[in-house]
Amino acid sequence: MADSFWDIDHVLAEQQKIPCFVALDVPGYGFLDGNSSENLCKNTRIELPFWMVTPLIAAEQVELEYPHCFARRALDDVATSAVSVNLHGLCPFFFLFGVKFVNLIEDANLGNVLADAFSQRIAEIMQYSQSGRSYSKFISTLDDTEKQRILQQDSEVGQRTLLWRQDPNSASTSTSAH
Amino acid sequence: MLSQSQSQLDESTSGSVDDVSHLTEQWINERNAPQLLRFEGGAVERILELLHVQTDTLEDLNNLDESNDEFIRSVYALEMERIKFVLRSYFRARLSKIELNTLAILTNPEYRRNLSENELTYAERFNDITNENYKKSFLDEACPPSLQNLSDPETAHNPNMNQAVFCRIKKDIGAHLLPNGDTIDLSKNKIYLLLYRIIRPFVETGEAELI
Amino acid sequence: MSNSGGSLCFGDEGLKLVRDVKRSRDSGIFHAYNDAGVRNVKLEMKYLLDGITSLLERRAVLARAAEQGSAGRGGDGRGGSDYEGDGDAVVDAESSQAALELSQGCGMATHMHLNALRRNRRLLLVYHRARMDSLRDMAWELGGGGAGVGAVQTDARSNAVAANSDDDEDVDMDSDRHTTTTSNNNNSHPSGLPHNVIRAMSPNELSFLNSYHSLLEDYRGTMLDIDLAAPLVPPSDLFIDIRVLRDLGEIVTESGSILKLMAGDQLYVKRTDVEKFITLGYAVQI
Repeated sequence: MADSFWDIDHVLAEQQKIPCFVALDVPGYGFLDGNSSENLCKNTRIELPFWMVTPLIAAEQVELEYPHCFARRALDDVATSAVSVNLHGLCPFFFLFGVKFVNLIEDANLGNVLADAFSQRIAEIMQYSQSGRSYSKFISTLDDTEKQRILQQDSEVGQRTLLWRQDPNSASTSTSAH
Repeated sequence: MLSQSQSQLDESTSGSVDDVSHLTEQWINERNAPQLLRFEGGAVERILELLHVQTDTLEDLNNLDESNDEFIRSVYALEMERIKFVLRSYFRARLSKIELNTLAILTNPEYRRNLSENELTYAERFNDITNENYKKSFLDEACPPSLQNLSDPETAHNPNMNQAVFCRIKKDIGAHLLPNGDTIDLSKNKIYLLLYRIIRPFVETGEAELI
Repeated sequence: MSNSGGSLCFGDEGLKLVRDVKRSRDSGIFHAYNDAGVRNVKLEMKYLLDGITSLLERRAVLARAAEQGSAGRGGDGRGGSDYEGDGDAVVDAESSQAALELSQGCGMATHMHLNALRRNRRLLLVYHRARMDSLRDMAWELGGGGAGVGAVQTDARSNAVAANSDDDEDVDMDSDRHTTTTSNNNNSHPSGLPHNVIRAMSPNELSFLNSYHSLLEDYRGTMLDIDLAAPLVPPSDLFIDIRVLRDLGEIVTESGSILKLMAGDQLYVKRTDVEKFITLGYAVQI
């Protein structure tokens, strides 16, 4: 993803682990397998963070599996009832990591499932934030992107709309200079 | 006395009304565009000159002691505050982009030429002082030579050309083909929400403005 | 992935730093510089660098052995008979294949070490940059709140000069500025940043902030009329319509002129000139 080097959330999202198989015996990395032997044996199934997997995939030194959050069962849930799935539980950076993963393995279908889920959930989030109802349980199921970028902005806008309705001429509802 | 000062003020403003409205439009473009736009040096210089003249004449007006002058003074004073506000906001919007995309701006000739002289100096010094912190805190000590400078492309932080922007078309341009195959009708006063990269050439020519 | 330091994974220490700045950003509280954390990351990087060096050596040795082995198998026959006679250097087909694979394994381990090194570098860069961003934002917000970024700096500098006017030596501006103003309550630094934030910075960060100040000061100097650091208050808030409710007589406005405020007057004035009257109820905004 272009120009996300300095973005804190991207850095954190790339920590997400992905199961993979190493193509060679790797000296010194036996600890990844939980055993104490010096070498990591070829074809062992281990979990590596996204940031490690990406260059190894490019060098064809690992083969990967879909991580748990994008496994068949999770995806079925997401596709059928997007609004009620606890995305935060599946992966705190579900969408951010999702985009990265889709780009890595070039799975357009997964991309579509994520995009659909995203739009459905946005509608739900906006309903919540405009209504002012207490939805704390729902919030706990939101992933980081949803919480930060949508929910926060939404409730800001919601508050300002409320204030503006009360007093359209008040200075505090005018858009800030910066 | 009064009418002399007042006509002085009027004279200096009439020629520069265009500059002020032009800069006001460029200010809004600058606030909404992800990249640094061309520096409006000419307009800025003329407006600063205008402010000078107005300040002097206002001082003259201040020395008169008639109560309706207060109203005239405050109108001119407000006008000056408005202009200063736009200038201040203009420069600060540019400054925050310079600080955000420093290396990308310095190393890409296309971005670099949009800097004013003073901004170029600012960008270089800013780049130096941030790098200084990295170097002294860890870069020199912990990294191999190949990783010690921040010259690898992924650290450059280019402006996000895919940012969505609202824009208004100012002239009849006609049909425009989008990358996804759709066509949009760029006719005067139409408003669109587009990726910046699509509307960018039209903003640069003044055929569209960001809102 | 672990290292000798005992953390669970390469990059874990660095990740803690990034989580720290995320929390800091979300809460608006500037945390103290995590010197120990940074040192740990640097240690891990050193471990990785050393590891790379020894892996590359090992790979070179293994690659040579693999080569010798396959040559000995009778490729061009040149080294063949010599080899078979040399006890130490007998490398048969199987073990040469093994050596080749192990050398490739070393290559992969090197690759993984390098990735971890780059990750750590990124984590440190992001940590330091995020903190510099916070410091800059604070300097603008707090310094710009009326006083202007660097305005206090000028006063402090003249205080420092006055205090040292008897000295022939050059005044060390930085340290004097700091000590002169730390005796004050909250605005203890030219930047306007409160004392507890100053304490939370690393020496390099303080140095950065001072340099940023002088950079900004110089830039402001190129456009004094505009007063770059003044708060961005929309002009529509500057002037307001008021009705005067009491006879208030003559007041002097900010711009130095005289304003007469009598009951029933409706005026268009600068807010700051009349705010106190509005608060007292002697005039009302319309």
